Amino acid sequence: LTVVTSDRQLVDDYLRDRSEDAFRDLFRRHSPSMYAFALRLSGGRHAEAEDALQDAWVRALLRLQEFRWESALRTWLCGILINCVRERLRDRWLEPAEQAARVITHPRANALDLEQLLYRLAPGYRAVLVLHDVEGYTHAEIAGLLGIDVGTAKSQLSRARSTMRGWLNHLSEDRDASRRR
Amino acid sequence: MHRDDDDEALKGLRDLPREIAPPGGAEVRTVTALRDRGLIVSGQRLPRRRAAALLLPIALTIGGFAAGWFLRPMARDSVASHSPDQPRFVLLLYGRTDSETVKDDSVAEYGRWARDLARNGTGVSGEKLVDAPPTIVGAQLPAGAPADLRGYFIVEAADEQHARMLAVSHPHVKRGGTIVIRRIDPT
Repeated sequence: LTVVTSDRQLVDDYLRDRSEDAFRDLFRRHSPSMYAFALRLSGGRHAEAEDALQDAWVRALLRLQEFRWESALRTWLCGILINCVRERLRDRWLEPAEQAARVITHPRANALDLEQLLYRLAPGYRAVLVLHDVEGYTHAEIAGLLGIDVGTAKSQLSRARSTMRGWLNHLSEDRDASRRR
Repeated sequence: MHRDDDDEALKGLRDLPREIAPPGGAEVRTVTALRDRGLIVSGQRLPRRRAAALLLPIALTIGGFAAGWFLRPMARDSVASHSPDQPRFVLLLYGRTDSETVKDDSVAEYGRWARDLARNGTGVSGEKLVDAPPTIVGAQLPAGAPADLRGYFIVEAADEQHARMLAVSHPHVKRGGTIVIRRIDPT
C-alpha cells in the first residue's frame, strides 16, 4: 500500500514551499541514475561524481522554476549534470582516470571490462557512447545535451565504438594467448 | 529515447546498470548544502495534496480489511505517470491460503514492503484478489497451470534482475508463497 507521486507533482510541491520532503523524494528517485551517469562521465572518479551530483541538484533547484516540461525531468537533470562534471574535472577532462590502469583479469569481456574500457576513452567519445549505448538517447538528444551537432555526435559514437571494439579484440587475443601458454 | 542499431561486440553496454546508489551520506550532504543556500526549508508541513495522498491509503486500508482486500488501487497514479523509460514488471503472487489472523498480518507486512520500496523511489502499486475460485472464460487452463493467484504488484525496475531482487525481498516469499515475474510490454 503506497503512494508514489509523479515528478511534476513533486516539483510543484517543492516549488510551493521549498519542501525538504519533496526534494528528498526527487533526490531518491533520480540520484541513482544521475550518479551512475556522473561516474561514467568522470571516468570512474567517485569523489568527482558525488560532487557533481550535489552541484547538479543545487543548480537544478535554482532553475527549477524555469523548467517547462518540454523534456523528461531526468533528461533535464542529465544536461545539468554533464556541465557539472565538465566543470569539476576541468583540465583533467582530457586525462584518463586512475582506474583505467587497472589490469583486467577476467576470463572474458564482461560488464567490469566494459566499464574499465569506457573509462579509458577520451571524455568526448565516452560521453556520446554512454549517452547513446548505455542511456539510450537519440543522436538529436545527445547533440542537444552536449551542445554539438548531430553529425558530430554520430561520428564521435562511431569512433568511440571502433576504439572500444579494438580494445575488446586486443583483450580477447591476450586472453587466448595466455590460455595457450 | 531509442537504440538505433546493434553492435554485437558492444551489446554488453546495454546491460550495464543504469542506476548506481550514490555513496552513503550523499543525500545528507546535498540536503545540508541546499539548506545552507536557503533552497530547501526543513520541517515543512506536508502539502495538502501529499498529506491527503498519504492519509487516503490508510483510510482505504482500514476499509479494505472489511472487504477482504489488502490493497486498493490508490497507487494507480504512479502507474499512469511512471517514467516512460523505466521498465515495469508485474509480480504475480501465487499460493498460500492463510487463516484470517495470518491474512491480517500479511496485509500489514505486504503494505510495509510496498511503502519501503516507494520511500526508496521505486514506483509500486498492487492489489489483493478476493479469495474465490477464478472464473475462466475460453479454453481450459493448460494442465499444471497455477490458478491460485492471490494478488499482484506492479513495480518499476531497471531490469529483470532488479525486479527479481525486489521480488525476493517480498514477504510473500518468506511466507512460503510463490512470485512469478513478468515484464510489462511498454507498447
